[in-house]
Amino acid sequence: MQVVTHQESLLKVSGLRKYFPAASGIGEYLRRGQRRYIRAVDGVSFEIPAGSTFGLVGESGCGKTTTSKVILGLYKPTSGNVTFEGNDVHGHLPGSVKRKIHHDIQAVFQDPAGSLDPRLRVGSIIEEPLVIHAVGDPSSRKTVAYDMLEAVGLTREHFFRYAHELSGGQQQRVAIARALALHPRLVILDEPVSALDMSVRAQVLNLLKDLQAEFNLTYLFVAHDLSVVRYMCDRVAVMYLGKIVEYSTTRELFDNPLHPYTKALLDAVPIPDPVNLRERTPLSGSIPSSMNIPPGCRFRTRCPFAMDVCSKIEPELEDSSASGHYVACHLYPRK
Amino acid sequence: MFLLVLGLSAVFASYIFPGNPNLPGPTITQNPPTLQNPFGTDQLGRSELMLIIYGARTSLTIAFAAGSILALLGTVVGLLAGYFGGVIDGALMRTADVFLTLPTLPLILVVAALLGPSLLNIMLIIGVTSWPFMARLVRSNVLSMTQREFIQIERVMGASNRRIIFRHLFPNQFSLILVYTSLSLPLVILTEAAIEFLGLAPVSISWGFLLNVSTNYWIAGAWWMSFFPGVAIFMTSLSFYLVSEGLKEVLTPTLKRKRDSLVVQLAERK
Amino acid sequence: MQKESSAQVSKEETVLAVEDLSVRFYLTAGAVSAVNHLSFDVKRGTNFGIVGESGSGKSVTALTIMGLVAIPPARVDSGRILFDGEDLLKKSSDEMRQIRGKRIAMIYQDPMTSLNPVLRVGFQIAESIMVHDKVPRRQANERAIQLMKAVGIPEPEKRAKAFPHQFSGGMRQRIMIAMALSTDPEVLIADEPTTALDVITQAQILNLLKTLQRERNMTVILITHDLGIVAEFCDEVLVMYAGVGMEHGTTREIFSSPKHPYTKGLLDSITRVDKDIKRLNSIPGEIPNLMSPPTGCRFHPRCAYVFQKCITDEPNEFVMPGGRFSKCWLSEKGV
Repeated sequence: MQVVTHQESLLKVSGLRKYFPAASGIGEYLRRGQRRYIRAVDGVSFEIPAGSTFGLVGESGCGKTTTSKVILGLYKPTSGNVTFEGNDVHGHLPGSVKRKIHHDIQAVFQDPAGSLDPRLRVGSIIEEPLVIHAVGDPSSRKTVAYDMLEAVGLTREHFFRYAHELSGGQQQRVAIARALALHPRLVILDEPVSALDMSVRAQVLNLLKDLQAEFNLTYLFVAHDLSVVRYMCDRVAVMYLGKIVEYSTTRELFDNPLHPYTKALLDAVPIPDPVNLRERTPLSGSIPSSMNIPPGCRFRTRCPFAMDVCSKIEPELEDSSASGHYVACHLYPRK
Repeated sequence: MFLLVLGLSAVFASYIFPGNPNLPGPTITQNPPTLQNPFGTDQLGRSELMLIIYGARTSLTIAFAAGSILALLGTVVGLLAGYFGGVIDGALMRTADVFLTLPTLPLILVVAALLGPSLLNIMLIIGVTSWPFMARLVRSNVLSMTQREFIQIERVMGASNRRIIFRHLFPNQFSLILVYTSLSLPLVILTEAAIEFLGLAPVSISWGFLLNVSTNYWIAGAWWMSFFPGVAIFMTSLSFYLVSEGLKEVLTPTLKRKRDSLVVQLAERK
Repeated sequence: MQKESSAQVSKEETVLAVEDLSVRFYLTAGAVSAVNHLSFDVKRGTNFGIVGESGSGKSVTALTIMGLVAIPPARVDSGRILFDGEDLLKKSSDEMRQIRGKRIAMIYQDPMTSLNPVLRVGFQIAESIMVHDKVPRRQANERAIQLMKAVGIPEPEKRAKAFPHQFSGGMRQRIMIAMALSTDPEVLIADEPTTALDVITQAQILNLLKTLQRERNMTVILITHDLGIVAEFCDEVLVMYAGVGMEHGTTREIFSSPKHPYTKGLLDSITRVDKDIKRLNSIPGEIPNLMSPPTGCRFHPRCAYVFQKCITDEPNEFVMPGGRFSKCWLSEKGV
């Protein structure tokens, strides 16, 4: 089955903000006027066309996981919205539409063992979404579970095992089987291979690619590992401290990174090639706290190219060359 | 094992010793243990053994009743408070705190004084004053579970709250509930014995009451009248405790396996 | 099983030599063979990398060298660990305490659990100095501040009074390094020192280690699962799998012409930041259970080149010119 590419976006995120109040308690209460917030997501917008894989990349604390959780409905946005197939995921929708959204958006998370109910057998775990959505009857559900097991490279006999009897790679396959049981449209993958061993990673990544073609899926791939993103994604957005700083096709981003942070990231990744060694000078300093975001460009405190304007005006995400390569940096004024 | 014997004999007591136990026995009073009456007889000539077994009925009934109330209330409150959090959690936990302050024995005294002694009241009060501990345990367990990924994915898939609580959170609490309930039973037994000792229970054939009666006969040297009820109380408490330990071993074999794998994991530290 | 080797060809002296080391954990469920007939030499002043996935035995090896493996449930079934000519395994715990932390130091993956959260960091570093070198408090404090400066902590006099939780992950790792270096050790074992850090901080820490190594002519044994780090940082590499040392050589040799199928498979299956990969070649199968490892060569169930001898006999270490070896029957034929 071929991957169908539409021009219409399956998922649209616009102006998304998610703030968490910093630690409740007497101390914070007394602050009153200057209530502090952790600005985990601070104005994020992007679109995912159906059938593609969209990568959200950044270091820990950049807001990528929070963004994915808002999309999944686990958090409510502080402002901005998330639109799926034209519907506002957090809006007042009729029950049937809400159910459809729960049906069509699924997720696979990082911790393979934590994603599975320790009391249930693998078969029940995979059947769970079918039961929730009242699909079929017990015997047809069992058939679907068997089919899914085979689709993810496990055997029918795994149906009767418990989660803790499986290895990490196998557990993650079960999580994938469960996510795909309803034949969703969008799957959010949050660091799906980070907890797996190297020799298993390639297996699962290849599996995800094959399944995408087979089930005509759209992926939102959240990761901190740029090499994995390069292999899996069509388009990539780089996040820093709650905002997207660069956003373009994978090829463009890796061949021609524009934003100083993207460049620093790519520079810092160690490459398994001892012949072409570079003398690297990594970026200094560390990520500021999301409670005290520097005014102006939030990256300027570590940026080797920081200019005067950077501390005054926050750069907007703009198309640097009208070719769909967006960057938020004063080094690239809008043409 | 002991519990099994005790339980069975309590249930079938009426078959072992036909006749009304309240009537005085045929033989002379206060005999030391003999073959015919292995535990001796009480002041009315009844076999102590028979009395002990009948008394078991009372104790076990109260134990299980109070235990059930305790488990039910504790689990429900713990689940709801832990899962929903926020205002509900606050309200439920404050309620639990209130019940925590109620002292069991004095409360029973008061109720007995006002409403007259009643077995039902005793069971209710014991259950009602002990559930907060269970609720706390369950709640903290639920809180940590809710953060686990599999619960989040249930939400993503659209599972209703009810489904998550009953099908996923609750079964994972099972071992905790069983272990803690059996652990609290000894205290229940002791409390109940104390009540009977003070004469507040309406039942006269119970271990505590036997103890009470026996105090009058110490000087007469009728040691068997206090010894056997005492032993019965002790053994029952101990058995419940051992059962809870056994349950813990059985229901958390993962603990041992985890410890082993932890040793290797610590060594590997991926 | 013998090691076929000619006399040691080394201009540099060997500071640490592991010979035929086997370690097993005797657990209630069974015996886990964590390290199996492992041998390697580390030359003074070099950067020796040990690469492996989970279950490879790399951490157990490090802990055994340090004498930190709990015996029981572990037991060293065979082998010697020669440090400066003396067998560490034969030393009493008092003697090991003299060596551990003083001449051989170790840093770990998670600095948060290695630092005492209720003591100020300056005090913790000074304490380590006082214990090993028996100098008075004042002197130890001064040295502690010097060390903090050497590892790149800004304003060391002020920061010495702070507590661990007030530092970022990268800073905490620097403190760990300062503690490890406080006694000027000859060998530093770093067990996954950057796995918990983001990629830019990782580059900073690795650069720091490189500088410190050069300055102090220290030998570093770096344990990691990241092949990129090994390529950029290490001089020699030992590849471990399922408790066995599979291949050893200089970094260049290993990456440009790997001899062992496992090494080859691993290199083919990792994602890259620097190049576009059409399809990853994954190694099939799973990492074996060390309680009942495969017979013969432990990698044989997953090996693309497996033949009869691999299943029945454990391969010898076939040494090639220059001191590199590959534990594979293919190398017997000079492949």
